[in-house]
This record gives sequence, structure tokens and C-alpha cells, in this order.
Amino acid sequence: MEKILGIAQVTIIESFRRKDPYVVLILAALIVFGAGLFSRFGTEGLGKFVKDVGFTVTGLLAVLICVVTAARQLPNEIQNRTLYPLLAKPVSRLQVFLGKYLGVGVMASAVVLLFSAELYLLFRILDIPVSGVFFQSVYLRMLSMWIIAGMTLSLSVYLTQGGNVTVSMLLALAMQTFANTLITVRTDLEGWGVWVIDTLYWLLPHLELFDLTKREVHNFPAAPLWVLAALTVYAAVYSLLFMAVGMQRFRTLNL
Amino acid sequence: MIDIPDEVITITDLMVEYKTDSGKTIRAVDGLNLTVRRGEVVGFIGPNGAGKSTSIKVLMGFRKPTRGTVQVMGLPAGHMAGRRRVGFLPEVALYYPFLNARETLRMFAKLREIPRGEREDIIDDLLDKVKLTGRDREPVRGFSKGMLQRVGIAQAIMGEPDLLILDEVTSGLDPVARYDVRRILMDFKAKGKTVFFSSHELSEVTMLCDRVILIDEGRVLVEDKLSAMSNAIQRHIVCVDGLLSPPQLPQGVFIHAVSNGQTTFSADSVEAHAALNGLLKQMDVPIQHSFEEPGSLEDFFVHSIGHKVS
Repeated sequence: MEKILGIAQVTIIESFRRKDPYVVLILAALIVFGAGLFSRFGTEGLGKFVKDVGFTVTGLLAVLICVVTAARQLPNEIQNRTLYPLLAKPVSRLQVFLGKYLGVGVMASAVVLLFSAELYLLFRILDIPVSGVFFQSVYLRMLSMWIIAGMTLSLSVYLTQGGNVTVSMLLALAMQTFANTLITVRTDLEGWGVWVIDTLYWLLPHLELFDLTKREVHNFPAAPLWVLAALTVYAAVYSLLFMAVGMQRFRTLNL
Repeated sequence: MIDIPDEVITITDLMVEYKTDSGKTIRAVDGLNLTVRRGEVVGFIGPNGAGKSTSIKVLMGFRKPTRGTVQVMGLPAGHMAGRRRVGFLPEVALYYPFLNARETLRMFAKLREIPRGEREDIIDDLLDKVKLTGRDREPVRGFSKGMLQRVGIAQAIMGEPDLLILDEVTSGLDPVARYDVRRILMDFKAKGKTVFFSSHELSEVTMLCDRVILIDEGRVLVEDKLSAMSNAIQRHIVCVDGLLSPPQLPQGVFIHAVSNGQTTFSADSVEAHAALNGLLKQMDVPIQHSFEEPGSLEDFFVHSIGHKVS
């Protein structure tokens, strides 16, 4: 376990020393604060608008950091030859893979926490009320980061780094935004089209389930605890599936 | 803990093929056979593209062979128990530029399974050995190639491995760094440990090795003791008075030195020697003295490989 933690630690140190999270943290603050200035004009309902912008912007940026970080891990290790001395030690490829996953997952979760603290502070400054759903939303967003980290890390052993960032971003954002649209599209289709939509619907992770933005924006009640528990299991299962697919290739990859 | 076998590296009928981006199959190693015995220091030399680095990758378990068997410490290449006894230095690794040297070694100490309480002392000792004490808190990103190689050597010798496998260990190092690396390897050799290293620096190989394995096109060309290789090539040295520069020298004849008003020629075969003598006679230049000496490893290398461009 110490070996996995050691590799994860290097991944986390790298992310924070590269200062990526800080840059997007400042960017997010500027966007949300800019949107918040509208509420100073006293227009009714602008609080909801600011919340919506805040969650959307930080959500997008968190996904971006997670995907970019996960996508560069193994390709950079191979390109810079840092993987060779690593694997020359008594360390298995599975341990390297898990260490990388753990590192990206923790880093992305920390970024979500930082963004959430920033949002909370800005909402307080702008006198926008925050409910308990906000905290549920933070938890679920962190869970979704683990799925995205697993997916991107796994794709990194199949695709080029650039291709992986594009595909992972598209998949993550499309599943957050258009998952429900698949059901609507399906009703108008026949034959193989239905089969394609069904396959996509059941194969891809439903990241929209982890997004409580609308609940928080429209002051809906908090989600029951069993839902959070079920989503935790869902995230764990999908992460494991992605990891298994990635590990299958990484295990036999000629370096 | 595994016992150290007599043959620490055994490669039998190794063949490695890979596909290029254009789909062409390249055979990097083609029926390679070699053995390294316990306590030996063996140089693995050959021209660019001879298959040295590919063979080492297979040896470390980074790459699967197309055919053949490779054993390290009596175990299949890449076996976890074998890796506990092996130190490895890759050809120019960049390490983690955002970590400092101490943090880098700390990470490797964890992976090397060095007990937590002993780590810092071991790291201090290693930093001292590779002359990085005082620079250990600087980010590796600012290190020169030589300093990076020192970090690499420190991680390779960490935990006193029984076998060191080094890929181009002195490549691109300045003379001081090269001297330091040689000193560390000599120390290793003195402890009866085994070293297997590839290098283009034939002078290093000459100074360090008991035995040399010369490969080309993925096969072993020659495998022998260094002295035997040198004796296989005899150089004929001919000294004449005056600074002589004939318009065309016979094949195999080179100007060896020009100093103290004398010109020294070197002929790498009996035929070349005879042709040189003929030329000097034709020019009416008397020979001051002439003798034979064993050739260098470089002479042997050039003689065996020729002047082809890889």
C-alpha cells in the first residue's frame, strides 16, 4: 500500500506545483464574482443565475483539470522515461496504475473542495442563500471526478494524449449534459439506431446523476441518504470497470 | 530472499520484433545468446541500433520478447523477486522535474521497500556518494544532464543491489562526472557485485570491464575478455623524422601522432604495414623505429563493425 501511496503522492505534488488548480481557481472566482455583480442591481432571481453560473463554471473547470491531469500521467512517464526506474523497482504495473488513479482522484477531489469553498465564500459575500443540497452536491461532484479520472487514465493507454483529452472531455460533458436527451432521441428511432442509443445509454456512466445544480438553484429539498449511498456504489463500480479495461492494456504494454 | 545463482543473467535465443508507425516490422534483436556470471563486470557494446537498449528493456521486463528466454537472478525477466536484487539506470531519464533530489530518492526508497526509519540515512549516504549533498533541496528541473545522471545512479545503487544494469551510464557526462561514476562502479565491483552495462564510451569499458560483449544487428559478434580482444588486433607503429604528410596514405594506415619533429604512423594490418613501408621507401624517408602493440578496444570495434552508418 505504501508504494501506491508513494506514487499517488508524486501525482498530487506534481499537480499543485504546476499550479494548474490555482490558475483555474482564480479564473472561476473572477467569472462567478463578475456574474455576482449583477445581483447588486437588485433584479429578482439573479441569485439563482449566479448560483447556476457558479456551479456550471466550477464544474466545467474541475472536469477539465481532472481530464488533463489524468491524460498526461502515463504518456508523460513513458515519454520522459521516468516509468523505467519506477518499474525496475519491486513495483507491479497494477500498483503504478492504482497509484496514478489515487493521485488524480485525490487531486481532483481537492480541486472540487477548493472550488466549493470559493463558491460558498462568494455566495456569502453576495448574500445568496445556500442550502444543505450544496454540500450533497460537493460530495457527488467529488465522486464523479473519480469516475472521470478512471475513464481518462484508462483511455490514456489506448489513445494519444491529445486524442484522450478530447474524447474524455466530450464523454464527460456529453454525459452530464445530454444523457436525458438519449431517451428523447430513442423514441424517434427504429432498428439499429435504437440499439446504438441503448448501448450508449447503458455503457456510459450517467454523470448527470451526480449533478445537483438544479436542485440547489431552485431550492429543492435535499436528496435522501440512500440515493447518495447508491451513487457511491455506482461510482465505485464504474471506476473499477474503467480501471480493469485500462489495466488490461497497461499490463501487457511494451515500453 | 533468493540465492544469487552463478549465472545472474542468461539470455537464450532472444528475438525482439516491433512494428513501426508505418506498419513495417523491425527485428531489433535476432537470436541473441549471452550469459553474465556472478561478480563479473561486463560491457555491452555495439553501434547505434545494434539492439543494446532493446535487449536491456527485455532484461528488465519492460518489453516482451517475440521469441527466446531471458532470466535475471535465475528468475524470468521482470519477476518481482528478481527486481528486489537489481539496480537499474535507464538511458537518460528526466525524473520528476517538480521534485527535488531528496524527494525523488525518498520516493524510490519507498518503492525499494527500505524501512521508513533507515531512509533518510541511506539517502544522505547516497547523496554524498554521488556528490549531490547541498544540492538535494533544489528542483531536479534545474539539473544538468550530469546531475540528473547522478540522481539516476543514486536510485540505481539504492539498497545495495546484487546486480546493476546500466544503459549508457556515462553518456554525455563531463570528465569529472565520468570519473565519479567510474569510482562508484569500481567500488561496486570491489564488493564482488555484478555489473552489466551498455556504453558508447569505449574508454570507460576498457577501464571497468572484465569481459566485453560486442553486438551488431541484434546478434553477438564477439564475446571475450578485454585482453583477448586487444591482442586480436595488432597495431604496427612506424616513426619517421620530419613532419610528413603524404598526399594519399595506403588503406589501413593513419597518422597516429605528430610531435617533437617526428611523424608516427599506425597500420592496422600486415598488408597495411607493408604498403606503408613501400610508400616511405618510395619517398626516400628512413624509418627511425618500428614496433607492434596490441590494439585498443576502439580498434577492435571498428575492425569488427566496419564503418557503416546505422
